[in-house]
Amino acid sequence: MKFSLISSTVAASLVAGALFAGGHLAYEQRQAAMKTLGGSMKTLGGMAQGAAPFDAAIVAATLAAMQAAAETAQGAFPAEPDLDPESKALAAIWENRADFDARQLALVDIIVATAANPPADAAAIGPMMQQIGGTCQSCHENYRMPDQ
Amino acid sequence: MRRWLKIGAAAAILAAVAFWILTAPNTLDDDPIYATTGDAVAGERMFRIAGCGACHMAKGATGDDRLRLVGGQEFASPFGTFIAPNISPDPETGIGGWSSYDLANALLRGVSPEGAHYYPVLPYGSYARMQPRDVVDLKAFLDTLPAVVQTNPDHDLPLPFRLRRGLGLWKLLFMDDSPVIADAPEAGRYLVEGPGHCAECHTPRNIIGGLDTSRWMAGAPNPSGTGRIPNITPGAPDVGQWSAADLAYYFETGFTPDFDTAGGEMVEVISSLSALPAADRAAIAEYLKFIPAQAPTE
Repeated sequence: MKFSLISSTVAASLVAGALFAGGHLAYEQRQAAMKTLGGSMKTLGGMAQGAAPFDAAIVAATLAAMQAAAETAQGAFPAEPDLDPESKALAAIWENRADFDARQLALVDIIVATAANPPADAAAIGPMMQQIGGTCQSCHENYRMPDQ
Repeated sequence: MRRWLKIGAAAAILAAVAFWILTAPNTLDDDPIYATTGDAVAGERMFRIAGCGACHMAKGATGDDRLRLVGGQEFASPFGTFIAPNISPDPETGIGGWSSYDLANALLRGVSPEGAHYYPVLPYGSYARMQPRDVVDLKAFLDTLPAVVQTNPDHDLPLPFRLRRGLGLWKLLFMDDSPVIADAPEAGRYLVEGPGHCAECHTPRNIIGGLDTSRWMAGAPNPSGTGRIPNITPGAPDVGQWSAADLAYYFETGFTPDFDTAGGEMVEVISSLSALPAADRAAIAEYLKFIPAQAPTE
């Protein structure tokens, strides 16, 4: 009971964080969303590695936050090229927009599918993270600038 | 006047002869090991660490197509555009007709079976440190892959770089199969400095394309686009803080300690490293924690 109260507080703050973080500029919104995605994966990774106990409610809340963040990111790449020294987005995004959009959609889809059929224990988190991480990498491979 | 002309002509001939001798392709002695049968299972490990598929598969290949080493990918460079050759076992358009000795000359010396220099876009500066046994095993594995008939275009290079003979001078300057970090733990040193060829991207180059070993793994401009290939020494502001376990986990999963993911060319590298035995990933991590810290580049 106490756990589920904590869990729902965590859930609420995660979702709120995903929805309201970030500045006004499109790239700031994307960066905030990406940060939420990374932070969420870290939460899940901690459970997969045994650093934190498995908690189905936190998993569910984390996946909800990730879905919101992925959808925010999806909406924060404007139609016209949006390049800024502060942004790692590459021009290739706008040169291959259909491919980029398909890959972004794949991220949302896999998060939705995972939330509908969430991992039942810590051991199941690892393979799930590999699947989601694969969609992250498939965009980062061609569309994000490498840097130090 | 006539006399000066004669001296000039003699000097030019001498220079040409010296150039011809100095730039001669230098093949390996034929060791009996190259006539032995390789172990394809061990060879697959070499194939992963050497990352052959990343350049020699079709661009963006997925699934089983990743093992069809048809070539054709283009690599832009300051010297022109290089095009990866077909290294599938097809005897006509691939390397099916090669012996293990031929493959060893290509990888350890950068010399083709016909005795011509290869361009160092094939990272033989690193592969030169490979053990002959590992080349024989790698050949055995390559022979198990699908043979594909495909002829690729030649490299697209401007004239001075189209003449391969001059590469002999480049090799005289930069080919060195001795260890770079001699006192580093041996298992990781072999994987990183040899077949893994990590330095080819992570170490900066001088103006004629030689690696600056005094800035070993200090990071470098991205050869294929914008941004930088990161510093991966203990002196790096981010990667330098990772533990050996963090590094090994990254090689296995592509996740950084902050659960960001690999990007750029490293995505392809991770897909190879993740298929290696865990001990190899640990050895690479141990090596990277050992090498001298390099200050970040401004």
